[in-house]
Amino acid sequence: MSWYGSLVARVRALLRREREDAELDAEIRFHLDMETEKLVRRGFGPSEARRRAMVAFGGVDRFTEQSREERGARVLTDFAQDLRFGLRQVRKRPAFSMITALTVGLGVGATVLGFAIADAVVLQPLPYPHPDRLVRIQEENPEGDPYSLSAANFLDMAAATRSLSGVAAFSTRRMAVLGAGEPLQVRGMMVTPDYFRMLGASPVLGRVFRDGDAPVGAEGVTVVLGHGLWERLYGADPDVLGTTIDVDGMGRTVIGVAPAGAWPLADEELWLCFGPDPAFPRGDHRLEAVGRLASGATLADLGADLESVAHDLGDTYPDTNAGWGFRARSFPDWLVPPGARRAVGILVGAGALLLLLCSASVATLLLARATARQREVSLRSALGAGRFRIVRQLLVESSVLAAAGAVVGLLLAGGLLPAIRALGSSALPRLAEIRLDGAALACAVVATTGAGVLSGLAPALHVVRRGFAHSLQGAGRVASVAGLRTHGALVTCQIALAVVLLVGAGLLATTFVRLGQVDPGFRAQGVLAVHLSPSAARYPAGQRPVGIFYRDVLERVRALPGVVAAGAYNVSPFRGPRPANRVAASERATSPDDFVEIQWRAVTSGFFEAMGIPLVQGRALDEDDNAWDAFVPAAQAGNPPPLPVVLTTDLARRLWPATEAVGKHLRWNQPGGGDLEVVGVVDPIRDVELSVEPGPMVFLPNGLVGMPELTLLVRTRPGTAGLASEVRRAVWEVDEDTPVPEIAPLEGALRAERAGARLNAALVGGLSAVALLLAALSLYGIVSFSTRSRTREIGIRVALGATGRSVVAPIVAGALRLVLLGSVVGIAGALLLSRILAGVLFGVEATNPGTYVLVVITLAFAALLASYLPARRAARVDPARALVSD
Amino acid sequence: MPKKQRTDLLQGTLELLVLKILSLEPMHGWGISERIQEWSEDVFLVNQGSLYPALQRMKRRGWLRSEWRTTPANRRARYYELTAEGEAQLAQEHELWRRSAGAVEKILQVST
Repeated sequence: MSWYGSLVARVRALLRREREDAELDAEIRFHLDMETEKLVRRGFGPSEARRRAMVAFGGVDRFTEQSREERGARVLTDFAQDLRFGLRQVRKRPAFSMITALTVGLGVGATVLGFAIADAVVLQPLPYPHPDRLVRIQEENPEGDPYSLSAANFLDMAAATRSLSGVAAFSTRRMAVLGAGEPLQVRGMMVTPDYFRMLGASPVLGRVFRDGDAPVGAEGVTVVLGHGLWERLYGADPDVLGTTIDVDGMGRTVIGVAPAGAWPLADEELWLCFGPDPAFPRGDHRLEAVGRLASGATLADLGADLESVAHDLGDTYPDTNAGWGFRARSFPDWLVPPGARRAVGILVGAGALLLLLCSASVATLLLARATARQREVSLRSALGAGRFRIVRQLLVESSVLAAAGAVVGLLLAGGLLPAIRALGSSALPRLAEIRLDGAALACAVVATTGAGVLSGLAPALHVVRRGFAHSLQGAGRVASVAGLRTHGALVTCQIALAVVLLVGAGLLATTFVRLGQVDPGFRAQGVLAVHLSPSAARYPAGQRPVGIFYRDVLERVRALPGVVAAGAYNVSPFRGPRPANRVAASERATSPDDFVEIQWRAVTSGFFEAMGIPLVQGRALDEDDNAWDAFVPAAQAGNPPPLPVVLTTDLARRLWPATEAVGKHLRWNQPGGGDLEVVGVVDPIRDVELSVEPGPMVFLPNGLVGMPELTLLVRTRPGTAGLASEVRRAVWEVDEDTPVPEIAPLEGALRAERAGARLNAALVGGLSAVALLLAALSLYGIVSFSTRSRTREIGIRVALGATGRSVVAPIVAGALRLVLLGSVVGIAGALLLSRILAGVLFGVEATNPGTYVLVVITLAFAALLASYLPARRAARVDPARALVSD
Repeated sequence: MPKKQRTDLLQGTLELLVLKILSLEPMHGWGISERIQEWSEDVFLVNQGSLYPALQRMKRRGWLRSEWRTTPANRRARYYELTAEGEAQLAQEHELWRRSAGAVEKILQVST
């Protein structure tokens, strides 16, 4: 009969039995009624007559009147009985129960952890009203790379789009706050007046910005404090409104305090208001933009809108905007970068796989036990327990074990939380918020129920299906062919799952290693880094004092004992920003198409030495190159000397493939732009993202460019300590109002860059190790079980002269065959699933054959080990005893 | 009246008696039990624990069929009825009984 047909027949028999039971009930009741009546006629009282009738009836449990009347409450008492029985069984075999509970605990713990990570990073709702209506807007160059917006483009875009109900521009920088004690460096944000209103944030105190707070082209004199800063500086004093605070050299009035909580955009501690300057060069992209969709508008509408705006701008300003566009993306996508989202998905997936594997493990354990309890089950059935009743009882038992496992799992997950927090928050900032809350508990309950049912179902159905009569007579230990097949199928599943996890772990581990091998192009060991933000009022951008400031600071720092070299530049390594622009070879700079995208860096003297970047050709930029007085007066007189710059080799090769670059000239940004002269060439560096190929880069002298916020880099002799306070003092000797935040080794930033890969590799590696262990244990279990039940057969073989090897070999071969089958399935699964990993891998393909081969070898080795021991034990069996035993 | 001696029904005789009773008219389980008691003049008291399983057994073997009917007292009860095989079985078993009872009697009559 087909499986479907037999299922129908079984259901029908089940239903018919119910009806037959009911009819039997009625028959018995009739009989008792008649007998009672007869006795009443004889003169007995009604209850006495009833009692006598029932006594006269005698009989087996099955016909008890009581059970009929209690049919309503039967379900509950049955369940209580099942529960009690299940608990007793669990207590009877503590070792077995502990192992099962632990296994389930591992699976549940992994799933809950995965969920908690996903919850903290991805699922938590944003604290703005209707966050799904918020969009992030960027510009796009003709090649499709994303760019910040220029002030002029932002203003035009804001004016022309119809699909936004509000849009604001912002940029972040470190700001110097003077007040009490040390000058403070805070993360500040410059925003256009519409920012708070558009996001929907209400201030805790006072008001937020509005039109009028921002003069065009400049920063306003009002400031909104962040909640944390308000608590820190003012002790949450409500009278702070109207007081003045010096931010970046200018006194500003506090007009409000922003709300507390996890504002993803608000690692920021205070906000200034500004008006974008339409006169600022349109090709200089420095602003970020956030907007809110108008009601009824969709992202697609906005996209179309922006396309037409870009088109118009391209026509009106072909030099800067031809071929440029805008792109709008949903806000949440931006907050959780797709790489993080994918990584979280991977972790959750791995946790779920482990849960499946653990369920399979527990199922094999229960199956082995169930076969041993066959006799008990048969007895219960003979005593009248229906098939469904038995299955239900076995499920309750496995659920009890699963529940115990869930407790273990939650404890495990809770225990691992601090480690995850420490390991992961450098990679995924919101991971610091990870916790086990109601949602995580709910997930645990679901996982546990699933595990309990899954693991109990297979053995229960198998046992019940086997039929009862013959097992009452025969030995309970004899393994049926069907039983072994189910068992074998479960073990094969486990091996497949283990293969998938191991392949994932191998790929992620390789990624981490490769990232570690990437040469960033500079030497980070022994370098201290600190981000300086001198007061913008005293050191305005693009002016002489900036260069003087840094010249003096560097002079003092270089004089400190233990300092080998010192320099500074306008990027915070591995954090950003990534200022970009375009250059062309001077001799071929007639049309915008001649210009090449480049990254630029403004560096002081000593930068290349401090970072350990060797010169390939020419020389580094020195003090003379940074000398304002030598350059600017001549430029202002209309006769500017060329700006000395250093290039990377790839740019040099691209612009001048045949000749040396040193001495050649470049045009900056556009035909007719500034004249640059190449004085040196270096190899490309990866100073923002390790996993991205470095692009062409141009190094400009900061003394002439005048970027006020630079990262100071100090290379020290090995073994030098305690320089931090010295460096701080050196800076304050030059300007005591400059905040000097934490001075940290550059290696730390490098390590943090790898932290994401390390987290992935560690977590998946841990899960796969557990998976391997479980699969090996299951393999051991099934080989052990099958050899034990074939003791007689083996005994005969030994008695007939089989040597140890000829007994062991087929057993081990059988195990290897299981592993082979599982590996094939697992590899297929891994090939399918590893595509998901593609986004987070680096330096290794998702189909990297070496990894797969290594995994299979590992599994084969584990299989050998797991099967050899029981096989050897089987071979040692005493043939006489084996033949005699039952 | 002297106390009647209750005797256990021998296995197999219960079925014979049931067949006989049902050969006269279809009857429900209680009725069968009462009749055995009555007509044996209280010698046999049927254990219901054996009667109903026996009825099920005989039904499964095809000697009886059952049907739910209303009693004269307007109650619902399951009535059993002899089938053609049942009648044949009755004749057979009755013959067997007579022969074995006769054989036993003959042995008992032998005097030493």
